Amino acid sequence: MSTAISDPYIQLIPSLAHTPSHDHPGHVVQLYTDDSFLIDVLSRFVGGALAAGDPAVVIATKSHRTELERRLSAHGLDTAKAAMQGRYVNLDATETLPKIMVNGLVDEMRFNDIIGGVLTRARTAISHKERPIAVFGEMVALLWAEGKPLEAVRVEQLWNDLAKSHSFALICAYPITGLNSEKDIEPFLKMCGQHSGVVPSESYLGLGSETERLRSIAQLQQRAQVLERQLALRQSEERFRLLVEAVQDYAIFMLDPDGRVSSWNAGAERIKGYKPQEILGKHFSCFYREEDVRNGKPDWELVIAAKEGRFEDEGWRVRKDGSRFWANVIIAALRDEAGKLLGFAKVTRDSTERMETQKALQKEVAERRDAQRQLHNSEKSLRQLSLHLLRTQDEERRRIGRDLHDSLGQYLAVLKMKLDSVVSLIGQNGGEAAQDVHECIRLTEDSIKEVRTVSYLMYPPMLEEMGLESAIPWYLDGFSARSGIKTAFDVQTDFGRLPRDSELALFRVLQESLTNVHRHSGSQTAHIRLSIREGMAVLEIEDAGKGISPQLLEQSGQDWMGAHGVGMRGMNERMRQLGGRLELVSKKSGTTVCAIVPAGGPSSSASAQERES
Amino acid sequence: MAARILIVDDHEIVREDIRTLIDRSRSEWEICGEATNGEEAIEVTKTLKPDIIVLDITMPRMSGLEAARRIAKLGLGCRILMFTMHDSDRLTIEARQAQTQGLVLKSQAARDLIRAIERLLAGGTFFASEAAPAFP
Repeated sequence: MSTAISDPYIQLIPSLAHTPSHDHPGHVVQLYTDDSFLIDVLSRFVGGALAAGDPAVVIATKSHRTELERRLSAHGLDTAKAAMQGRYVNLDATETLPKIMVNGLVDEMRFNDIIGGVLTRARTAISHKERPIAVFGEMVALLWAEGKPLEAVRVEQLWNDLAKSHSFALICAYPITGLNSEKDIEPFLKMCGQHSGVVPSESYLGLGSETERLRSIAQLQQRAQVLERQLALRQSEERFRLLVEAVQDYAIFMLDPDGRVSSWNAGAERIKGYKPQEILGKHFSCFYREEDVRNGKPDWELVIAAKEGRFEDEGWRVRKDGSRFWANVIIAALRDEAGKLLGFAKVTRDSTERMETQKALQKEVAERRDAQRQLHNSEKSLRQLSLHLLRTQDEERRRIGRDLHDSLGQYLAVLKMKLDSVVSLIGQNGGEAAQDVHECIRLTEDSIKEVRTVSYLMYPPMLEEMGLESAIPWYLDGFSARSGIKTAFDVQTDFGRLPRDSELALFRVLQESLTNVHRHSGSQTAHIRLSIREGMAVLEIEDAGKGISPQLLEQSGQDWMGAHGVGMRGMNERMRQLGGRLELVSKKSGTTVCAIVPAGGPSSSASAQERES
Repeated sequence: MAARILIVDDHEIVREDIRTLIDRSRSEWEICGEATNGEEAIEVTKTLKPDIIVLDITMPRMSGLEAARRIAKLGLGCRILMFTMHDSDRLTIEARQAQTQGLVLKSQAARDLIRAIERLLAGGTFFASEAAPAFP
């Protein structure tokens, strides 16, 4: 069996053999219940020192001093002589204590001056300066009795400090009756911590055997350990309680098994508006809306929490003033080790702001989506309008072209035939009349050419009859003649025919692109390629010009068609409509426009996409 | 040499002018029928089996080129002379590919039409393009 507890700061002195002696410098606390026991210890301690010719200092209560003097005299010690020699100092604790206090607190400087001074004087009274002084002090017990345990601990600390410059054996005494209250536990342990040893109260001296005494010591040790653990737990609980109480953002409170509020923190007060005294003991259903209470929601939540261990909810709750807030609630069931329901811990957070922010955000998202949809719709309408315009324009051009060709052209052709026959009728010798008719024929031919040129530009009549494969080179011949730009045309063998709309659209891209080549590129050549790739008809118009300036491309951004004017943008729309696209690559070495449409006409998926968008 | 000629053009004024031109030039030639579009031309050809068809290109419903291809397929031995406003080498190629035997521009009808019909009747072809074709 161990005779000392494992904790480093409490050294229990297990038997009389270790009763403090002034020969062993140290700082021992003597616990006692009976004054005469204390006087026994003291008379042995002080008497031992005086008998050995060593110094002794006593700072004790009046009754203890008197009794000690009497006991020492009874042992034949001449305390008066020792006092005269200066090696025995006997001070009244009640009188000395105020001298080391300032404003109710122990003053270090005064303690050192007064107590240190006393020790120095006692030492100078003997010849062997290295001999230890026997010191008994009781000011700590007075402070303890006055309800100032921390000051008592402070005095113990000052004694320990003093021990660094003075050699002495010190006994402090506390009546054990003053140490029963729980509030004393912590100061008691602190006080013990200031000592090199603790002497149990005299009760154990009455025990018969060493074994019993040791058992008693062990019990004391256990008691000390239990006290310590309790203290640690209490401190931890206290810290936790303070933490919970201080939390402002969460309402953290406890419910008893019936749902009555049994604790309340600052956050709960802040969020719900009840002061602790207003809510403690009340049923927590007052936090719920009437309809929720009617539906039994609060009780139902506790049932679930009890069953599942935990319940989480988000919803409206009611403050004391009747206002609502959006709460995030967690209820956790609390059970003891045996599984018995002790109550519930409830944590509530006010999420009104978050919920409102979320709502506002959702609203904004919806609004933006709406705006986007509107924008999309307008874009769609615009595209449709643009397409409609293009189609109308096409139809118009086609009609005018046809009209010019079919009516005016035919009339002019017939007119020319007539004039030709007039010439043959009047013969070569028609004189001036023949000359005039020849002039008429020349004018008619010019008119025919003019009409043909205009009508072909309006609408390529060969396109319908012969398709792109023929209409493109035919157009290129005219373009080269007018612009002076050399053109080359490569067409894949068996290119075949495309749907009418696709052919016309590609033809318009060709016209538009060549117009741009002529007007802007500065290129002297244009290379046109027509092919089928992976089911798509591809028309490429490549020039060797200066390209579109990067600035212009950048300005137009994603809407690069802007760089190429309204015409190309219209072409792009037309390609899209047909399920195709228009691509543009511009480098310093030239620009390539690439028009792509499904060879078999707009695919069903493209049409579906168009309808959807 | 007698010949039966079918005139196909959607313009009455043109048909009339061709008639006048042929009547005045060759009284032995007979205008056996007229048609105003490609489809009609095929039907009339089946019935009348003309020697020569003067066939306009740009017409409603079915173009002259398409009609020419189909008529050639009938194998009736009709000779086809395209008669058009369009002035292009490319068209000459197209006309040849459509298995016609000649092409005359409307603007040069007085000069070329009779000669061309004669050439076709003699078993030849007539694709004399103008020296300086006008391009669009």
